[in-house]
Amino acid sequence: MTLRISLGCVAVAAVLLTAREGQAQQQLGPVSGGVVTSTAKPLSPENGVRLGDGALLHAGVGVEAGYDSNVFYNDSDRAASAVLRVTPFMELTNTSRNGEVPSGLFYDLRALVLYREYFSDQPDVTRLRSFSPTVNAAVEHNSRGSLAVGATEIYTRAEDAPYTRGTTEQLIIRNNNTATAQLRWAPGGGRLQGLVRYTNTIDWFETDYLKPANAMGHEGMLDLSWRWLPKTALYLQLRQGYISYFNSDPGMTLSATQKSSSYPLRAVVGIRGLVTEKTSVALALGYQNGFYSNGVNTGGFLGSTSAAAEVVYLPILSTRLSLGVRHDFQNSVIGNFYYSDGTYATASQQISDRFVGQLWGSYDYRRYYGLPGAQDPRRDKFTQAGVILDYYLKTWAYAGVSYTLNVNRSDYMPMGNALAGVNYTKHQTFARVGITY
Amino acid sequence: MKTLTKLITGTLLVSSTVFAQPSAPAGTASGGGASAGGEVDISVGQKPTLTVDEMTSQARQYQQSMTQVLQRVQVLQETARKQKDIIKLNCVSDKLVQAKVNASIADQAMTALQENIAKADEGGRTHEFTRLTIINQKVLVLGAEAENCIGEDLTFVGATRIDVEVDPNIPNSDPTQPGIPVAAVERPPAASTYR
Repeated sequence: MTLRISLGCVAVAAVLLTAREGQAQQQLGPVSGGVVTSTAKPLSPENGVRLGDGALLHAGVGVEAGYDSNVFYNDSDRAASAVLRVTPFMELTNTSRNGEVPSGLFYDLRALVLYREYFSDQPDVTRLRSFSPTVNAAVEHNSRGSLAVGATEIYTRAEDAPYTRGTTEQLIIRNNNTATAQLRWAPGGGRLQGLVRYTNTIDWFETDYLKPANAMGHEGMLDLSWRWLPKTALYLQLRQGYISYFNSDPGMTLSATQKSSSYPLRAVVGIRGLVTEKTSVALALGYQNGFYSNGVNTGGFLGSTSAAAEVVYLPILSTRLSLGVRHDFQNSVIGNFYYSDGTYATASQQISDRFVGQLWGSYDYRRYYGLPGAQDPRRDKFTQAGVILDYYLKTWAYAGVSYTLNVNRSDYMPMGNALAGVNYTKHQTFARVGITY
Repeated sequence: MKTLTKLITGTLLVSSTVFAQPSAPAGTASGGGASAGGEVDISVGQKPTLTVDEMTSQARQYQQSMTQVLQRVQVLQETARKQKDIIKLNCVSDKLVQAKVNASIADQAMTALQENIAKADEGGRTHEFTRLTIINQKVLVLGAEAENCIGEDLTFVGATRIDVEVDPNIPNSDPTQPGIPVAAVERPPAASTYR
C-alpha cells in the first residue's frame, strides 16, 4: 500500500516534469516526494469513466495563457513574449472510486503532451513552439503484503529555447527515460523492511552541441529500515551507480568533447517518518564519492559527505509546510559534477472547499568541477520561486493564476569573457483554466 | 367471599397495567388518536447520523466482511469436496452462490453510494448505505448457514479480526518508505563547451 502511494507519486512527478518544462527540476527531499511543488491538478477518483471492473479512465486538458519576460534565459538580450500552453492528458488506472488501490495487481498509466506557442512579432521567438510529451507507467504486485514487486517507467521530452537568439540556433531538446524495477519485502509484522531497486536512466540530447552529454546511467540501491515506531524508521541506504557516455571510450584518453564515465557511490544512514502526529522528518548523513574515471573527482571531508534534512509540518489537514536543506553532488551536463548546497521551502493551503493556494521557493548554490577552459569551480546561484492560486468550479474544473521566478547568477567567465545566458532572471505569469475528469 | 377476592385481584391487575403505561406527552390527546391541532412525527427513525466519511468507512468494512465470508465459504466448499460428501457440497455450494450474488449487488450498491456522495445526494446515499447494511447481514447469515452445512458451527468463531484505532490526525501515507527517483530533467546551464 505504501509502496503504491510512492508509485502513484511517480505519475504526479511525471506531470510536473512536463508541466514545468523549461525550468529546473530536481529531487529534493525524501518526505516531500522530490519536487518543489505541484502545478499538476490532482485527480479525484470520484471522477473518470469506469471502463470495467479494473479500469478507470481519466482525461483532461489545461490551458494557460500568460507572459514570459525572458524567453531565451539571457539577461544581456532579453526577449519578452506572450505565450500559450495547452496540456491534454489521459490516465488509465485500476484505482477504485474511493481512492483505494486494489490488493494484488495495481497499475497506473499516464500520457500527456505540453504544447507551447509564443505570440510575438519576432520570428526567432515564434519559432520556439514546442511539443513536449511525457509518458509514464507504474505497475506493482503485492503478494500477501509481505512481498511486493514493482516497476515504473517515465519518458519525458523537454523542448526549450536556446540561450542565444537567431533563427538558426538549435532548440535545447532533451529526452529522458527513467525506468525502475524494485522488490520490497517486509516479513512478519513489517518492522524490518528491505528494498532492492534497479534504476536505468537514459539521457539523450537532440541538440548537436549537447550530444557529448548523451549518457546512460545504472544504479542499484539497497535500503534496509527498522520501524521502531509505526510510522518512523531508521534506515541504511546504499546506492552504487555507473554512468557512461555514448561517445566516450572507456580506458582511452578523452578528447575535448568527451566526458568521463563515473561510478557514483552513496551510503547514508538516517531517519524517516513522524516525530509527532503532525510533523515528519527525514534526516540522512553519509558518505559519497563520484569515482570519475578521468579528470577531477569528489573529495575532501565536505565533498565526501552527503547530508539532507527535511521537516514537513501539517498544522491542520488543509495546510502543509515543508522546509529542507541538503548537501550532495550530482553528475553534470557540463564538466564532471557539481556540488549542490541547497535549501527549499513550500507551503500549500486549502483556503475553503474550492480555493487552493501554493507557495514555494528554493535556492541552490552549485559548484561545477571539471569544466575545460574556465576556472574550477564555476559557481552558480540558482533561485526558484512561485505561487499558484486555483479556484475549483467543480471537482473536475478549475481556474487560476500562477507566477514563477527563475534566477541564475554565475561567476563563469570562459577565457575571461562573459557568456550569454549564464545570468538570467525570468518571470512567467499565467492565467489558466482546465478540466481534469 | 370468593367473589370478593376475585374482584380485588382483578382490579389490582388491571390498575397495575394502566399505571405501567408511559404518560402521554404534553400536547397530545390521550386515547391514541391524532390530536386536533398537534403534529405527529410519522417519519421512520432510520436516518443514519453517520458522516460521509464514516459511512464510506463503514461501507468498506461491510465489503471486507463479505469478502471474508465468501473466502470462508469457499474454504468450506473445498473441505466438503475433499470429504467427498455430496450433501454437504451441495448445501455449501448453494450458500456460496447466494453469497456471491449478494456480494455482486453490494458492489453495485457501493458504486452507487460513491456516486451519490459525489453528487451530494443525501437521500440516495442513505438508501445505498441501507442496502449495503442489509446485504451484509444477508451474507453473514449465509456464512453461518454454510457453517451449519459442514457442521462446524460450534467450533468456528469467525476469522480473526484485529481492530486498530489510529489517531485521525496521523497521515494515511507511510513516510518510512524511500521515494521513487525522479529524473532531473533540467535545462543545461549555459557554457562555452559541453564537456
